[in-house]
Amino acid sequence: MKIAVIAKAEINNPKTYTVHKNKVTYHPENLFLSEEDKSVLEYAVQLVELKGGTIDVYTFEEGEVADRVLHEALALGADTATKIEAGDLNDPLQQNYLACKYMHFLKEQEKNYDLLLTGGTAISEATAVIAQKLGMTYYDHITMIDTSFNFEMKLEKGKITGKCKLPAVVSTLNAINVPRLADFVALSNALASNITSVSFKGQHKHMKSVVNVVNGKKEKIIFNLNDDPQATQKLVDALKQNGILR
Amino acid sequence: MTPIYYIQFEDKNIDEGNSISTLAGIKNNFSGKKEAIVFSNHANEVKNKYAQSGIKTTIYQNNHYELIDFADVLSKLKELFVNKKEYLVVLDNDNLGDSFGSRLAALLGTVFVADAQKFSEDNQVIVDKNIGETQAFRRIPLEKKAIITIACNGVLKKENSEINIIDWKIKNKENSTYIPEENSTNDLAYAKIIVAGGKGLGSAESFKPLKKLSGKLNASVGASKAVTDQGWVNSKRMIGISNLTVSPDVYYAFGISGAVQHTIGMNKSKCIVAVNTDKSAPIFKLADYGIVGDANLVIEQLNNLL
Ligand SMILES: Cc1cc2nc3c(=O)[nH]c(=O)nc-3n(C[C@H](O)[C@H](O)[C@H](O)COP(=O)(O)OP(=O)(O)OC[C@H]3O[C@@H](n4cnc5c(N)ncnc54)[C@H](O)[C@@H]3O)c2cc1C
Repeated sequence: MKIAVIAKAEINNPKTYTVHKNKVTYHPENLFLSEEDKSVLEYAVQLVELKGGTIDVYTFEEGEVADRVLHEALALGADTATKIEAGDLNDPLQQNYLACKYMHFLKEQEKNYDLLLTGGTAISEATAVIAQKLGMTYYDHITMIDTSFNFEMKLEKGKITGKCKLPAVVSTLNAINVPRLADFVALSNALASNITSVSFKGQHKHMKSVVNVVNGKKEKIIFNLNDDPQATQKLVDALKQNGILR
Repeated sequence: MTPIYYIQFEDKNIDEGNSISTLAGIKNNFSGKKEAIVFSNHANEVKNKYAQSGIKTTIYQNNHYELIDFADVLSKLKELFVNKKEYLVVLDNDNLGDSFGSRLAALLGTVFVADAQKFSEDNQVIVDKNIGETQAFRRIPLEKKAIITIACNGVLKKENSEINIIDWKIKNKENSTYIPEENSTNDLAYAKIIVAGGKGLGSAESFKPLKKLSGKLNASVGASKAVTDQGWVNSKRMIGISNLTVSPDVYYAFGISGAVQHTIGMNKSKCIVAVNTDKSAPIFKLADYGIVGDANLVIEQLNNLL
């Protein structure tokens, strides 16, 4: 089996961005391979152990984060690691463009993957674009997939179950298994392994989104009906003003 | 002003993707021209709901449609939008909405923002998106064509609207199955708005005005264990460690002290409104809004005001 994994750092980590006096600071030193991506890698390794094949890992992360994420992926069992220097895949305004470029790159390289995996749903448009343009079936919000490709997709009040048609792009909702830990030898081999860098021709001309600070800490709004007969009316007004009640 | 299209799914056998309160929220939140596009297998039964929404609605009807028929719905949506010069397609911000939103965006080559919050809508719609659990968010100016999923709730005022029912062909039956969760018939487990009562309401009788309020707010009624133990409310409605965990957009707690066994079941609510006579009650630590005072009186006043 030919398997590709798009690896990302843990975007939900509260330490990714810190805020001081309306200034946002980005902390690449706190970022490691996301739990969701570790678990799709584990799934890929299980498939390769069973059916044979290779695992190529790609990341769109930048600089030291890219290197760290890829070294972790290599230590967990990936065969090759590629860093794509093209833009921010977490930015919804760039996802479509980057996914199209990446898809062309895979076509040019005649990669013909059976399975492209990614953990978490943060880049869901990108994965949908890749699946659609490469004619692969797309499965998202996956909470279970086994080595016979039976899957479960989680909705609000139930789940959709079935069997994946390959070639497929699979994006998981959360960690789908408990990944094995990398041993010391694997880690030191990974650190010595080669990472390929790729950049795409042309520039993304569209707008990019701006990372901003959530405005201050939310104030509590508590009225006292004993001192203020208008308290209920005031509560309704406050809820309406802040879009809680309409 | 960018026209807004809201997509809903009405499968009589699968209760997902048809939240009328989001439709109301969108109606009250966005000023652009609005239209609802509904995929259904029982148009005649649901049409009245949309006919009174004040929003022009087109229902694509096929008796054999099932919610899992993603491919057919997507190709119909592509056909509807591919030649439009300007649109904002809006879906509910749940897994189904996110899944359709990303797939449709891929088909149309447009931007997709999951879990957006509206920031402004003058010449251009601008949305914000929180970055995980960090203190930062992205501010995203949307192009003329975009797809978003959003959480907004509201209560619809009855207002007549145009309804078109169009027969629609299904070609690609999907080879998958939908399995409901055990709790799927319990409205409370998935409610976007919950009004919960505690022992502070004093009697089973006091739950009648609370029930009336739930109707006005499009909410489900929940209760603390102290209340269900008394038999004032059915134990299926108990929120907390011993029964249901809920995460609505708004949680109203009337006469609930805020014991940890209760709050474990509701502390993921996006907004908490508490009413309690005791200003030091632990529930106020969690609350975003509140009133120190008699909950029965506040419920009565809310019923009169809303
Ligand atoms: C193992 C275990 C599991 C449990 N599991 C659950 C669980 O799943 N869910 C759960 O809810 N509880 C659970 N409990 C019970 C929990 O500890 C509390 O006892 C319970 O939540 C209290 O309910 P309450 O807030 O309605 O009542 P009380 O604690 O009696 O609080 C009533 C509140 O109402 C206020 N009040 C009084 N009069 C008025 C008025 N007129 N207007 C406004 N406010 C008024 C009071 O100031 C007080 O804060 C569990 C306990 C145990 C030991």
